[in-house]
Amino acid sequence: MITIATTIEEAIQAKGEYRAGGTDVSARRRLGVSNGSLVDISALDSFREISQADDGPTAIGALITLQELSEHSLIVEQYPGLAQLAGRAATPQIRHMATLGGSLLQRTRCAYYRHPHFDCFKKGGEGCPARDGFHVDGVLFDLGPCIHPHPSSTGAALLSYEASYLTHGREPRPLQTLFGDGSDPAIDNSLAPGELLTQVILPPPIDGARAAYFRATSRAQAEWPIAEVMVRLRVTEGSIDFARVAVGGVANIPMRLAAVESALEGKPAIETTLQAAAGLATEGARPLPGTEYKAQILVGAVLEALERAADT
Amino acid sequence: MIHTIINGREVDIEPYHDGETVIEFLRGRGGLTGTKMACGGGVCGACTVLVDGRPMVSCLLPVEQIAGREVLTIEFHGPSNLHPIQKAFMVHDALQCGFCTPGFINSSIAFYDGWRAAHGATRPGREEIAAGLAGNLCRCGAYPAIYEAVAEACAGAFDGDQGVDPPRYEALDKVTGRAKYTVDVRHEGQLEGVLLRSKYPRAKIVAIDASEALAEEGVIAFGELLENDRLTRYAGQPIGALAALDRRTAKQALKRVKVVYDVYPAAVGPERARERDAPEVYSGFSLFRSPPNASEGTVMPGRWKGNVRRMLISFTDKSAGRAARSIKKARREAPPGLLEMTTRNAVQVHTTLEPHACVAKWEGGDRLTVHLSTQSVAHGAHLIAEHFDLDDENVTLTAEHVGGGFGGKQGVSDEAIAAITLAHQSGRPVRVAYDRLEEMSFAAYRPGMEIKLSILADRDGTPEAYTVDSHGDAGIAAGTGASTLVGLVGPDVPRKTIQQDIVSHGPPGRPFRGPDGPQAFWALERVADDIAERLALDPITVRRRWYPDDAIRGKLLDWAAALPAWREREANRGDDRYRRGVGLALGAWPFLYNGDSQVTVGATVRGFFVRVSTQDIGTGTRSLLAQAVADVFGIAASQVQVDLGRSGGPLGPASGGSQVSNSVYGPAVAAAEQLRDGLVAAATSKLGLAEATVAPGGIRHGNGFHAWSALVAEVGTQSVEEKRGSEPAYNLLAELLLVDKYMPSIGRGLSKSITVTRVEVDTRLGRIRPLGVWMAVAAGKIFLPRLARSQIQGGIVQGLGYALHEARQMDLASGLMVNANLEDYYIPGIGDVPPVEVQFIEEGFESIRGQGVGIGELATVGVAASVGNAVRQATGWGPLKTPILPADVVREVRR
Repeated sequence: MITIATTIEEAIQAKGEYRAGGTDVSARRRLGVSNGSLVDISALDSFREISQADDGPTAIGALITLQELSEHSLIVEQYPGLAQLAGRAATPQIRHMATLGGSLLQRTRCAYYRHPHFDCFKKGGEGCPARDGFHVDGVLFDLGPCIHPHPSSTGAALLSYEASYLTHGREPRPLQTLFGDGSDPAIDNSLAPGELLTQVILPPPIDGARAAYFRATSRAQAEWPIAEVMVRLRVTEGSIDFARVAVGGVANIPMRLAAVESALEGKPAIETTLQAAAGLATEGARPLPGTEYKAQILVGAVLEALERAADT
Repeated sequence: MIHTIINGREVDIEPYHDGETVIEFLRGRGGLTGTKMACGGGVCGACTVLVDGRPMVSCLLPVEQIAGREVLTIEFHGPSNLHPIQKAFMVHDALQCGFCTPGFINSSIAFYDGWRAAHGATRPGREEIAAGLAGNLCRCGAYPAIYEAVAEACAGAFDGDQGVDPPRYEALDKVTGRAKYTVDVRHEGQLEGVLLRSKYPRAKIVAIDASEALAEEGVIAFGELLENDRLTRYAGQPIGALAALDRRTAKQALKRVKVVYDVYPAAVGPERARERDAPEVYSGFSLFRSPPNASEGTVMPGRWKGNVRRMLISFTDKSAGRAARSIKKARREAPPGLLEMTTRNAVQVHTTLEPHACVAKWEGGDRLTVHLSTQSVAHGAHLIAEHFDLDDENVTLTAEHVGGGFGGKQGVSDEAIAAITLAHQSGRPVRVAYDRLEEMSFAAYRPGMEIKLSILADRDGTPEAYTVDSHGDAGIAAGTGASTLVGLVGPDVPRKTIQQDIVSHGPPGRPFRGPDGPQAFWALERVADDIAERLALDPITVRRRWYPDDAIRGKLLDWAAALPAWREREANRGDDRYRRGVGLALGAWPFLYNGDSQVTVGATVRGFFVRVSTQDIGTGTRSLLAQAVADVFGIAASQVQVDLGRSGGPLGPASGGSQVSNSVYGPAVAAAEQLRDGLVAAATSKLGLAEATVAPGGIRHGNGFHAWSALVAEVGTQSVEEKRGSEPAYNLLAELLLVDKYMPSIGRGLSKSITVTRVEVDTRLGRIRPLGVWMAVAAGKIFLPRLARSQIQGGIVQGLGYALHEARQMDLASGLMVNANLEDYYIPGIGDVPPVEVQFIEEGFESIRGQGVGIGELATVGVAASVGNAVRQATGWGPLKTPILPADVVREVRR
């Protein structure tokens, strides 16, 4: 059955999988990978807003589409990395449909998961057919039994903005807790059943910080990344005094790269600093047999984003 | 109830099921079949509609979410209401098979609106267009023309009310969504059929029990589709088919069918199949093993050793013993001119945007009407009649428009057998259309290949001898011919060609545009460049020495040598990170034609018609026939009625092997000329006209002018049928291969091409970006240059995909393709296609009828090799396999 929720209360009380833009839900249902009841939340207009509090934080409704995110003047001016990413992710058609919430909460894009023949942890089964099978698009950081990268590009971007998220009736929590530590292969996010993501909250922008998003792919566009990087940097009098680096496409959760960040902060904003820091991007990497090549590409992608943000 | 507005009309939708998407409504109850379903996952954009002016993929858009919104489908802009984008697509021929076109048009309209609002009537750049159309894929590769069409429309070139004169006959139908494909056919009471497929690569089907499934509401029929031995040889092999009122019901019911398998160990993939202890795919005496045919010709007799099948006789050998001895001797002495290379090519999937699909309807007990997405209506009808034991004339096969073929839609395949069987059982029309997973996993792919090529050249690069040994990987199928092709198109020196297949428990490979060509030229042309480097010779010089008496290849090489991109290739090497290089590759293709082809040209008071049982799969056959007739009568091509796409007419060729143009053009012109001369003679005598001469649109005579229609009114309806007739055969063996009238003959002479590609290799991130492609083609007379250009551009795009992106990934444990969707299998998008230039050198076939041959295969066979050679020049690393992926670049290229 399907419930078209017109209020939050209806949405919470109804049973079934939440559907916002429908891009992921419809695809999974067509493949026969998902079924059951649906709760359509697309009409909850209160989550379709972007607002900024007087003291600076910005709340983005979970139903804001990627297209809206990429064009909204507040985002473009104050959180330009996020706008950049939202304007590059997926395809023009998907960007008009897919929501921020759905982008964070979509299920893994692993081809085994989405193939109706195969069973896996995420389909309630045991084991991961990709680990001994085809996984060149798998993770570079083998954090847990599921080895496909987390699909959320917005997740990586928002980590670099140190965002938090809000679910109905709860206090805001840091975004990394939404993804967990990657050890539970059954989940793509840590929301409880029926828990409804309502908003993402961004801290006030850092004056003078610059951002760059970069996505390494084999084709020109419309492709899941081999590695993707969001960098935020502030250079004050020639030296980097603020650095946030988050990556996607390389682990089953989006990640901040602490080693890279600390190798940047306090250093002169010159190419050698960036190169040395980028070289640390693979610290802690545990590649699979088929994903070793991602190490160099991740380092290259981090360097690319650092150079763009630093404008060297 | 959902209230919405579709194409300006208010509509109330009662959803059929939870999660119903907009495309299901549009194509079903909405009757708007211009919106196409291709990938079903929001990647290809064929289903794009405009919702409140915004482009969205209707395959993922929930019906509830168009409530209160305004939806525009392709049908909104009909023939009397064309959008400038539609006119631009028509004029610039930005379409081929047309299946992706409605989606492209809608995305382009959205881009156009945004562009005009922000920039006025100015011309957008390629990058901007590519970003705007990133959510649409075209498998034919019409991208170069799409860039041009969108840019021109944005710049205002189609703003007025002017009419358009498109080079493609059926362009208007394709840009308005009116063109009907097999998947669009819907009869009264039609059922949806789905296939039951084996879960295991190798098993015996002990029993199938469909009683529970048949008890479900809405389930109408079930039939077994088993081989006589009840064995399955690949995972996904059809073992049954089920029909229900709709596809969802059918798919659900399929899960209730109980199958008892005896499961045996399987040999999935050529590596496993080649091992000594591998289970055999076929057993029994050699001559009785009959694997499916992976080729477009006849499978030659072979000798088996385990799963490896070696062709017994080679018709492209020349002094084979001497060649083998020369190479063997050279291995001991190791002269610089001995080069040995082992190349590997991944499997490339056709993934036509219109899937394999069939709609079958029985008319009484023994008459069958079939719509099939096929490249061979004539042969297909015959094979269906044979399979179901019917008279040929009782089977009508129709393929009005075909949404891509590329070699993968020939003969009678599973979807047709299933639909016809189910229609028989249920007594109702049945449609079977593959979903994307089935299309990519089981329907058609270009076989994988391993080629060992050893060539001995003297110090100036002149070849002395070579041996070539290829192993094709076509799953359970056999008949690949890369070595044979190398022998046919390579240097004419002593050579030994060993042709082998490794059969394994995988779905059957099929011919794919230029079968064996990309693989054969990858080996030949990569070796040629390595020889050039080894002997410190120019790559063009080496090729001149390979083909010393070949005037046409000489001209192609002259053309390449004069290209600025080639001349300046040493000067433009890029920097340490972005390495640039230019590579070239020759290509060639045998001259195939069907000598039994016949074309009828007729005149009625309503106008001229041309009829032949062939089909137009987007290659321009309609346009070719119309133009051939129109030129003779001095009228516009659009005034000629073209009757093709159904069986029962004069025998026409299959759209494969580049045989169509030559098979039909000559007879069409000759028939038209006879008809014209007959009309003039009859008119002269009957009407007593003096000094009658043909003038545009009619005849001029002493008393004035008679239009053709007025003449026909006087002398009555007439028609003339003309047969293609045969040419001298390539050789005796080739002649023997001609088994029946449906198969093409191999004539003498090769069509030839050269491809020059410029690439940029990002050594930091491993990405290879083509910067430009130049291709010259020598295939004799070019009948329709504008459409030929489109087809060549498409061949280039497919070749780029082959070189850089496309690879099927098999899961060896299950025997299934993992990346069986357009999200994980990478075909080129518009942003991957650089500027392309095409040059025709209209020589080489002066002595054959029609003086020109097809170019479809020629356009793609050498592309990948030119990319490989460009990467080699750019980086110093010579790739040996396709596709060349970022992973390979970062692994192999030294920074």
